[in-house]
Amino acid sequence: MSRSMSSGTNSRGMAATATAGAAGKDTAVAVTSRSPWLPCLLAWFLPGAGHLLLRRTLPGLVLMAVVLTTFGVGLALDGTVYAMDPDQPLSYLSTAANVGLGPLDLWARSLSYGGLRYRIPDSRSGAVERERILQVMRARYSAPTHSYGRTFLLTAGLMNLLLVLDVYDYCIGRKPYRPQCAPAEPESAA
Amino acid sequence: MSHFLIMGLHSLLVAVFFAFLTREGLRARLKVGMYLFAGMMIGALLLAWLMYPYPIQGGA
Repeated sequence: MSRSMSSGTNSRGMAATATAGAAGKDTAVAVTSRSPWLPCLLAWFLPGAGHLLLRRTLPGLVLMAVVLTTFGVGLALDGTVYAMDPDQPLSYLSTAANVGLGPLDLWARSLSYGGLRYRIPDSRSGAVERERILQVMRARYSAPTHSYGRTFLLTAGLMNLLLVLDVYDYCIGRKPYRPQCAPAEPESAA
Repeated sequence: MSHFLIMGLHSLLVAVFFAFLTREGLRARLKVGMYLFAGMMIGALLLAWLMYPYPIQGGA
């Protein structure tokens, strides 16, 4: 991968890099020197906030609305978040997807389990505690829309993980950066 | 809320999400969003039609 660049500094103190195409025309502006930690952390903390920090206002607001709506519908449909269950190894992946939602996961988790629980004891070492947790879960399981709600909550978590990765790509300059959602440049005829 | 409506809502949210995540500009976003929405709805209906002959487990 080759990059031909001319660098400068914009008003926010970020070094902006213009990528030059083969024909010598600048087609995109990429932020390359911004540390991705704060935007990524913000994106994880509140869906869409990372994009807003990068001044991608319209996509940030729309993505925030979409993820929060997905999360809200998931809760309204009596969905539950996953907890790591040694008896079900795939639950580890599902729990990671739910945790991708950031602090909102704490709210959903307290509704699902009556507390912040990330792991369900296995049936051999913690049978009593396991049964207590499962009883709390069964109250929500009885709702006919429970599995739909669970899917919505999983989807919201995965969406937010993608948003974090997207913000990371913008910060390191892997993705063309167009502040304020400027319309895409028309593709030039080859 | 009916099952079909829930499926449609899920498809719509996912379509809008990926349209804004992967494309710039209204026209490109509309195109990708509509393709995704239509693809998910048609795919789900097709899958449901294919599964129709199979009995529901535990059903009467």
